[in-house]
Amino acid sequence: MKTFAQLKAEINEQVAMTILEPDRDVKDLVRFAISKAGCGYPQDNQIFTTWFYGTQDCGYIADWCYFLVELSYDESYSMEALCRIARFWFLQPSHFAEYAGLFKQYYFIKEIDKIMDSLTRQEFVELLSVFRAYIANINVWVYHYFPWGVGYAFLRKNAEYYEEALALCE
Amino acid sequence: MLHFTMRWPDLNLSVDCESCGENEAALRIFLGNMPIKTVQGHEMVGGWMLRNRSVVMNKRFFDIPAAKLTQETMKDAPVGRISLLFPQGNMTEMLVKYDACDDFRSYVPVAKVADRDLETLKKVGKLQWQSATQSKRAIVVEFIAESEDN
Repeated sequence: MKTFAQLKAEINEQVAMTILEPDRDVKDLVRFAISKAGCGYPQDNQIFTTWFYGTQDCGYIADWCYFLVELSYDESYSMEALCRIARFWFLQPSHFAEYAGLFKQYYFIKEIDKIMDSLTRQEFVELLSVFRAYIANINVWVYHYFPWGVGYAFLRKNAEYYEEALALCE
Repeated sequence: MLHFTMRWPDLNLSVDCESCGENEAALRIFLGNMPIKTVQGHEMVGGWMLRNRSVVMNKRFFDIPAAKLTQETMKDAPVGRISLLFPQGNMTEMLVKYDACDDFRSYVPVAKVADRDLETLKKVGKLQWQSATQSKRAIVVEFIAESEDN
C-alpha cells in the first residue's frame, strides 16, 4: 500500500504529463478509437457510443472531488463521514470510465480508496485536489477529441428552420 | 490594478486582462501560479465562451471556500468577463465570455479582457470553435502575470 506522500507524488507526476499531451488511455480510446473491453465493445464496429457513455463521467468525477474538498472545510463533517461520501460519489463513475477504457484514473481511485481512512483532513484535501487536477486534464483531452462537428447533423428545429424548408418547396 | 496576459502562441494572438474588482484574493492566487499553460477549450452549450476545463495551479494552493467568493451569471456578465468555475486546491476551470450567451449558472468573476482587445478575443473564440468542431487542432493558451507585485 502506498503512503499519502508516494501516491500524491505519483498522481502529481501524471498531472504534469497530461497538461499539454494526452496520456495513453486517451490516445488509445479517443484519439485512435481503439476499443478494449467492457463498454468499449465495438457494437457494429463503431466506438461513438462508448465515447458518449463512457468518457463523460470524467467531468463529474472532477466536480465530485471539488464538492468533497469544499465539504471538508466544514468541521461538522467528520473524516469518517467524508470518506463514506467520497466512496459513495466517485467509485462508481470512476469504475464506469474504466469500463470505457480510461484505466489509470480508476487505478488512482482504488489507491486513494486503500489509504483514505488513514488520511488527515489536510491530506484528504490535498490528495483529492491533485487527483481532481489529473482527471480534469483527462477531461480536457476527451473534450478535445470528441467529434463535436457531428452536431451539425442535428440542427435545431425552430421556426426559422421550417420557414427555410417551406421556402425551398415553393 | 492586477494585470495578466492571455497568449495563444499558435495563433500569434494575445489579450491584456485586468482585475474586474471582484474576488481579488482569488485572482491573486491565480496570478501567484503563473506562468500557466493549458489547452484552450470552448464551451459547448450556453453561448460563445472560451473554456479552460483544467487550469492547474501547482505553486499556490487555492483554499478560499466558495462561500467567501462572489458570483455572477455569464448571461448577465459583460463581454470580456473572465470567471472561474469551482476554483479549489490544485485547479480551477475558467470561462471567458466573448459574445452573446444565455448561461444563467453562477461563476466566480475575477477579471476582464481590456476593451481594446475584445475583437482579438472574439477572433480567438471563433478559431477555437473551428478547432472544437472541425480541425481538432490543439491550441495552447498561456497565462502570464505582468507585474512582480501580484
